[in-house]
Amino acid sequence: MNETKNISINVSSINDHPLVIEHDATLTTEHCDKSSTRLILTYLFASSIWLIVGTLIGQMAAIKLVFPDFASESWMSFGRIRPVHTNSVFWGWTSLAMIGLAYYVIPSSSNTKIYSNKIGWISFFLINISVIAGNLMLMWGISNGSQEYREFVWPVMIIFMLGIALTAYNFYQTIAHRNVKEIYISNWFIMAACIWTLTFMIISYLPFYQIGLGETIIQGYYMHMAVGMWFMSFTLGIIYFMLPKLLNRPIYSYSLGILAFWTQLLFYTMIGMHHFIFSPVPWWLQTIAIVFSIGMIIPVSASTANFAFTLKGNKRKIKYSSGLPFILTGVIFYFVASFQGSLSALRFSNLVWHFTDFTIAHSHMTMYGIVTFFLWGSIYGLVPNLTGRQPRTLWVELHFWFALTGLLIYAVALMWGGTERGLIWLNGLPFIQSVSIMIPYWLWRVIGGGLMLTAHFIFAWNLYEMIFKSKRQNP
Amino acid sequence: MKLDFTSNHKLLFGTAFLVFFILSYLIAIQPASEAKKQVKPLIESNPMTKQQLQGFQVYIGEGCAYCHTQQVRPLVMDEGFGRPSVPGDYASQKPLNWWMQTPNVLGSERIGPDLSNVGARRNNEVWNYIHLYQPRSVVPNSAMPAYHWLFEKKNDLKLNETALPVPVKFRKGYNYIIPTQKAKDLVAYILYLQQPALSNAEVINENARYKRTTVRNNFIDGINVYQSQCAACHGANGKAVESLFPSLKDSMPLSKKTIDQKMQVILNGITDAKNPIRNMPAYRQLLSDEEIAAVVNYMEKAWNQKNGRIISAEEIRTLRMQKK
Repeated sequence: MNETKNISINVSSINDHPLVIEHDATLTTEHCDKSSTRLILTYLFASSIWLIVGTLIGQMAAIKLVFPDFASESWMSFGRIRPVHTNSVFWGWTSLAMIGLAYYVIPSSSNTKIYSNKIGWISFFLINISVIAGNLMLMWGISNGSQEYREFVWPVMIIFMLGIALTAYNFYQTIAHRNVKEIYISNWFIMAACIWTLTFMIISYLPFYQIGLGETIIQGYYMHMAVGMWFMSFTLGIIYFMLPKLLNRPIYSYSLGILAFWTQLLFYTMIGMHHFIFSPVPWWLQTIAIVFSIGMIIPVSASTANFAFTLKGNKRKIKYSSGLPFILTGVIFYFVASFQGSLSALRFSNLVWHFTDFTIAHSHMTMYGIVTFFLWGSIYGLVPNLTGRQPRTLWVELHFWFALTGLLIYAVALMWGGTERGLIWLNGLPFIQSVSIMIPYWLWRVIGGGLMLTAHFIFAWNLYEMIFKSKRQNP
Repeated sequence: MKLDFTSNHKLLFGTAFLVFFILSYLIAIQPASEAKKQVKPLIESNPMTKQQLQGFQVYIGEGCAYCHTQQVRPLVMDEGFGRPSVPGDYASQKPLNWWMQTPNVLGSERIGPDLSNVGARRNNEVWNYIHLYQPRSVVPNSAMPAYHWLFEKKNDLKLNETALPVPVKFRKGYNYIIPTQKAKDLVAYILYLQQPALSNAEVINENARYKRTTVRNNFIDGINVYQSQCAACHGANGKAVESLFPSLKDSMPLSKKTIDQKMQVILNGITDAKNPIRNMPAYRQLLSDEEIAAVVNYMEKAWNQKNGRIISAEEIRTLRMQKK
């Protein structure tokens, strides 16, 4: 009797890939009751669908640069779907995944339950409705203008803002009702990200001062606040919680985290105009943006060092965890890509790289290499604890390697091609030559993007398995 | 009172909000309001007509600005696109209606060329229609989408309709390609995009704003000028695609023209109201004497060796003075 039982266990573990040791799980879930678990999982699962939609559209846009006459319907044209790609991955995938994770991080670090699940559900619907409506309008040819990440017209974006406002209220009440004296550093970042985001969105959607170049000044500000004060600040907050939890050791330095928080606020807010170097906006505004872009090295180094020292000496744990390799990759990209961003702000760098695909490579190294990898790491770290089922190790590894290889191909191709392009312009060669030379690099981008897209399907499948097949195994 | 950020959430998040708001005011709201107040439209500029405004709406809705900037930087490499943009160029940008915001035209990427002055460079409306309908029919290496949904495709023509001379192989089996109202509006907007000249006061104001890095390129290569300015109509190798526009290589009518006549055409362009496909920009506003001399010498050397005379920049300068 005993022997047959042993055999059956062995058989099932062979199916689950015998070469790799099962991943560990250390997170406590005492602050998540059944209904808030459902809320978190809904956010995360919806986000994975937005990720697939967003990348499918992005891949389509990438193909169109190489084959401009491919799928040439009006609602599929490059100019209309480019913003659909960015808005889907921004407001759909990243935002929903972040908020979903925060519904775990905030109550756990505050030692209390979430203030209201109901508010969580309402904001979930508001955010999704606005992203669906906004995307459909863009495909229909209705756009605010080509101001990046601000393409949704205000009647649509106000729904999104309402969702964020409710989320912020919910988080604030949870933190206010905490059962620990101190507010953990994660909650500094997450709560502040919500407040900052509401502020900059309202500032950027108010029309009064946005006439002529006033609009451009607000656009530079908005574009960078979206990435820096919403996505970056929010995910940093999540990682300040998830990284120590997954390693089961405290964060290396609490003070470094606080330094990172205040410098993020002081420096990041000022750098928006570095997207308009050499443009007709006042020269002093551009100079301020450059100076503070260099200043960004301080918060970036502070958090990188903090994460790196927390990770130090934990090779074994990283190896046996599904989430930590993603977070480690995110930390590396956080340092490299942010440093690259600071240097790209210099006037000298703008001579070569401004207006080229180099910028696109940079934005993917940050929004994908940093933010998306951080989110994946946190999701793989958290979800098994909520559902009691680990993802299949092999499939997590496939996800990781497809995503990383794809990103590297994507980024290297565009940086190389962008540099060549910039040099062609600097040398005064005909413009069309700078289009023709990009074709091979744009093709490499399609290949890299294809690998990334594959990774996203695998991720969604892994998530599906963790959530919906939870009854197969006990926690 | 002790500032205890770690355990006082009201203080912490109140401070975070306040600092952020003050910084945002200083870096965004205040400069934006200032820009709105100080900047007036240029003296020489014209407001958009209703049709041009509708065309601008098409431009925004189709997302043209993702690939085409409208900001010429004060850099040598941007010279081909026009004079450096000034704040006054954008002074009249405002929301198109109550549920939209002021659209952004400056852009952040240049997959295609800058369009600040495209109406002067590409002033032929027939070329613009054909190029919008299928960019690759005139510029083989173009990566631009074909905006065929802005055109009617049909096999029978009504009385007052004029079909575009789109090459047969790009017509997708239809006999006639006709621009819709949207295409007409869009082309009207594209032709509107011509940089107004700066008045003296405006030039002085500009020079005070920053140190210009604009220095004319010493070494001008005729083939580069040709490829940037002429190839879109006359073909990259002097052979116009499908003979829509005159070929410069092995062309009978052109071989009868003297080099002086050709220089006159380049300087002053062609304006033909009855037959708009013949329209050609006047390059006196677009190119320097050196550039015109270089491109003439290039074309003569490449496709018409009979003349054998090298044109100097001085010669162009004299011609430019002579006659408008």
